[in-house]
Order: sequence, then structure tokens, then C-alpha cells
Amino acid sequence: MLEIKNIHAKAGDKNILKNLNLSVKPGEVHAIMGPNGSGKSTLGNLLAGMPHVEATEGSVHFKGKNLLELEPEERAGEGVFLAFQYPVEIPGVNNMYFLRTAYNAQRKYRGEEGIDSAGFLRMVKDKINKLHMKDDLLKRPVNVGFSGGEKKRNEVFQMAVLEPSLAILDETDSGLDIDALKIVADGVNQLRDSNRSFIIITHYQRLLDYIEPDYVHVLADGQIVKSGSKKLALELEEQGYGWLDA
Amino acid sequence: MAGLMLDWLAASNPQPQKNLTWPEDLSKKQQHAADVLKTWPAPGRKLEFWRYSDASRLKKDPLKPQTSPVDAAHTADHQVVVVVSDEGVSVPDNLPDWLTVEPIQASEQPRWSPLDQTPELVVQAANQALFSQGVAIKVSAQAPAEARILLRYAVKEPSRWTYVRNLVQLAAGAEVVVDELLVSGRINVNNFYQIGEKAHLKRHQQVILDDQQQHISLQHFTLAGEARVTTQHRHQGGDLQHHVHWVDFSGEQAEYQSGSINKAAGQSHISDIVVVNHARKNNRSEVTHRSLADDSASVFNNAKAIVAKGADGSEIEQDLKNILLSNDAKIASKPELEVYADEVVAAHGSTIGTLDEEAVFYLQSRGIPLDLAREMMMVSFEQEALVC
Ligand SMILES: Nc1ncnc2c1ncn2[C@@H]1O[C@H](COP(=O)(O)OP(=O)(O)O)[C@@H](O)[C@H]1O
Ligand SMILES: [Mg+2]
Repeated sequence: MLEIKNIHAKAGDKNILKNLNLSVKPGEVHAIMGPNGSGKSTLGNLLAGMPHVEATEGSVHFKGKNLLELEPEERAGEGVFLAFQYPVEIPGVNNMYFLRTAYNAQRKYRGEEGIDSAGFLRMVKDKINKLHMKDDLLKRPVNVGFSGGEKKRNEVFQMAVLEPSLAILDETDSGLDIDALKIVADGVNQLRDSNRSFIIITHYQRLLDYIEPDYVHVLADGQIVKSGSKKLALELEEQGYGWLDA
Repeated sequence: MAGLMLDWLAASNPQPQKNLTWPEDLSKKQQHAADVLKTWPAPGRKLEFWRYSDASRLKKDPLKPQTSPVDAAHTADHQVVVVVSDEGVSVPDNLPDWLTVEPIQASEQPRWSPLDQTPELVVQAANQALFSQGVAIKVSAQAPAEARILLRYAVKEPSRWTYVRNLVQLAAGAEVVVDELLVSGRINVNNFYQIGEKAHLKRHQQVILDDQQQHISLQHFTLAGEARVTTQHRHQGGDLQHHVHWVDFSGEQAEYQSGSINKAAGQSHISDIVVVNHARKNNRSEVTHRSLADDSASVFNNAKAIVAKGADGSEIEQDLKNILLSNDAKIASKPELEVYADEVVAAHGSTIGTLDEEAVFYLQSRGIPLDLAREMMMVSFEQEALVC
């Protein structure tokens, strides 16, 4: 599904990713851990097509297509979703309207019919109930006045509505209490199936108690320095990242 | 400059002095105004209000009728629709009893304003020499809660300026919505709004023009004690738009609140000037502008508040934010406070930036195409200037 080969990438004018390789197959969940500033967000941003994040070498293919050639909205249409580490506030744009616009734009990209607002509302209410979230989220302007936790939940909610085939969650667990963490994990687990893949960027092992990863990778200084199973996350929890400097 | 008045006279539609139905004393007043104006300088970059616009565009001669691309005010929502056209003003026959509307020339005082003393307002002042139509509207306190009046400017004559002068009076305690909609024509309009004690005017001004259209407006508000004006302006496109909102308080505890959305693209120029005279104590004004300029268009925003000596307890807010959508676009943005009183609460700010790139990317990352994402962010930006 996703093939990242020898990627070197800049954020702004700083070289961040240095010869990074990663292969994600349908249905797999990959956790990416690593110290602050190691390039985790840069990787997520590169995949989503953020301006000022640019590959200088290497390639990224998604479902056989050269991902780096596509516009951000085309990547979304192909099924890439990034849950932002810092979701953006958009005053005056209603969350519901925003999501329906996004949903229909993706359908249009794929040559499918759009959905009317009544049908969309039904679908969205159903999803929000399943996620055990409150539906007042829908009426508010996108992320405006949301607490940190609400912003993260809103990302998960968007993911549930848009049903991407590759979801990248960038520290969606940071700053959440245990109940909110369970809601986020639940959102991921509900979507998990044999065709859908996840890249879970996290700083802490605790999210992985609820979302069981198939692989765990350690990113340090722009490259993956160690890969392993779920056990690696537990080891990291015990040892911290000090060993990286050794 | 003698040429100025002759130029403008020749370019007016119709020439008021030849208007046979015009009362004689009014013709005399207009002639006098014309004589005075002959001594005034032509508009140009030496004037503060014209520094950023090309006044020579006023003389352009568009060949075909120009019509606004948007005619959005829903006339069904209005109890009364007043139409200004080439044939003059048309007023519906059956007016509700809370309202009187008469032709401006029949009104006892088609208001000569002290504003005419400042050469900054030369283009607006020309209106008093040249106006050929308009209405005097009186709204009584019996106006129902949903009372709504539409002033529609739909003139076909493309090359000449049509000078319109309106007077709107709200009796003490009256509440009404007045929508002003420019549909077509090259209109130079002066509106005099007199708001009685505790009366509340809500106003929407929509001037959405095609790339050849021009429009000049002056709104002069006089607010009595505890009166309120809430006025919303949408100015978009056109070759030249020049708007002045001029506010005077005659009592205390009154409030003027305005929100302007200015959107210029192509070669458009929009000037949006708000002057609030806090000559009396304890009044409040809040002026918000959100402006966007694309291509090689330009916008001039000016919010000016003058607080007279002794006008303590005045509260002033000026909030001007601007977005440049291209490298060639220009925006000048000027909040101004002239304070001669001791106790005044004032806040003002002005920023010029670009569209929030991070937010545009956020929308794109959800599948929304770039153009639509940018449009959504522009709408988001405009929201803060929606006051009613
Ligand atoms: N747009 C940018 N311009 C310059 N430097 C950046 C930019 N974005 C991120 N960086 C830098 O890149 C490094 C890696 O950042 P990031 O990918 O956010 O790390 P992580 O998510 O692992 O904490 C940091 O040193 C950060 O300051
Ligand atoms: Mg990060």
C-alpha cells in the first residue's frame, strides 16, 4: 500500500529526514516512536503534502501511484488522512459544513455521487454515537474554542467519517486523559480492517496498550534506527531514548 | 478650478438645472452649490481620501450598460421597495402607515450638510449641486419588528453619472432595517440618516460590481441620545468604489457599529473611509474592516475617530485586517485616533497579511480543492466583520 524508499526531506530549509525507508501493507498498523524533534511529524506532513516539506531524494508510492506528485487534496481523495498534531482553528466555518464539503470533494475525486445534507447528517450522527462523542461538535466552527482533547477527538471523528485507507495519527494521544485516550483508540479499532492501514506516531507507549501495533519503529535523527514488534515499545518505555546516544 | 464643475455637469444624468419639475428655490440652492464647488480643487492624490485611488477614472466613459453580477437582496423580504432608475424614483402606492416616502425635492429640507466644508469630500459634495432624484423616508416608532426597506439603484444609462440624494429619518424609538443595493448605473449617492433617541437602524449596503462599474457614496449618520446604528457593508469589485461613512453624535449613550467587507480583484480600487466625530460624551463606536485584494487591485481602509475636548467617556474600537492575495495587490490601512478629551477608552489595530496557509492546507488535506479551500478561508476571514 505504502512504499517509502530512501527518503530525504527538508522542512523549511532544514534537512530532517535522512534516508528513511518504510513499507506498509494493507491492514497493518505501524507505530512510530522517537524523541522530540526526530522528524516524526515531518514524515506525516510529507505524506499529506504540507507546503514547505519537500523530498530532496527518494520516492513514496501509495497504491502504486507516485504520492509526491499529487496535490494534498488528491492524496486525500486517494485515501490518505493525517490527524494533525496541532489541528487548525477555522473561525466562521461550521464543522459539519466543512466535513460535508470534504466528504463530497473526495467522492467527486473518485467519480462518485455526492451526498445531500440530510443523508450526511444521518451518517454523521450515527458515527458520532458509535464513537461515544457529543454531537455539539458538529455545530461549532472547526476547532474554534475546542480544548486540546476536543481537537484530537475531532480529528478522529473526521477520520471516521472520511474512512481513509491510510490514516496517519500524529501524537493524537498527547495531552489526553485516559478516557479520551480510550475514545481515540476505540475510533481507530472500529476502523481497523484488512484493507485499511495506520501509521500511529506517538511519544508514549500507553496508546499502544489500546491499539495493538503490528510493528514498532524508532525514528531518530530522521531515520528509522530500529524496528520490531509491540515488545519494542515496552522496552522503550523502560529504557527511554538514552541508548540512542550511546 | 472652473473646469471641474463643467466636467461634472456635462457628465450628469440628467442635468438637474434643466429639470423643469424642480422647485425654483432648490434650483437656486443647487446653482449656488455649483458656484462654490467651482472654487474647489479637483479630487486627486493631494487629498487624504484620494491618495490611494486614481481619481481620473471618474471621467472614464464606459460604452455599454454595466450591471452588477450579483442582485442578491431578496425583495420578498421587504415591505417597501424604493427603486432609483433612469425614470426617477419609484415608490409603491400602498405604504404601511409607519412610513412616509416622498421625492427628495418635495421634502422640506433636502439637507445641506456641513460636511461640504471639507475638500476631502469634493466628489460627494458635488452631489448637492447635481442631484436630480432621491427620496425622503420617515419611519415612525410604530414600525413593526420586522420592518424592512429596500433602496435599489438600477439605472441603465452607462456613461453619465446619476446623482441621488436620500434622507432617512427614524423617529424616537423607531427600529428598521434599510438595505441598499446597487444593481446598475454609475451612481453618486449621498444618504443622510437621522436617528432619533433610542431608535435603532440596521443597514446593509451591498455594492458588488463588474469590472467597469463605478460607485461613489456618502453616508452621513446623526445619532441622538441612546440611538444605535448597526451597519454592514459588502463592497466587491468594480473599477472604482469610494465610500465615506461619516458619523456625528448629537446626544449621549449612542452607539455606532459598522462592519465592512471589501474585496477587490483585477484592476479594482475600493476606498472605504469611516469618520466618527465623538463631539459629545459617552458615545461608542466600533469599526471593523476585513479587506482582501487580489491581482493588481487595491484597497484603502481608513477608520478615523476624532474625540473633542470634553467628550469624556467615549469608547472607540477600530479593527482593520487585510489580506493580500497576490504580489501586485496593494492595501493601505489606516486606523486614526485624534483625541482631545481626557478619559477615553480606545483600541485600534491594523494588520496586513496573507491567507492562512496552514489552514488552507488543513482543508486540502481533507480533500477540499485548493480554490475552494482558499474561498472557505476568505469567508472565514470575513466573518468577523459581519455585524448584522
Ligand atoms: N517548517 C519548518 N521549518 C524549519 N524547521 C522545521 C519546520 N518544521 C519542523 N522543523 C524542525 O524539524 C525538526 C523535526 O521536527 P518534527 O518533525 O516536528 O519532529 P517530531 O515530530 O519528531 O517532534 C525540528 O527540529 C523542528 O524544529
Ligand atoms: Mg511532532
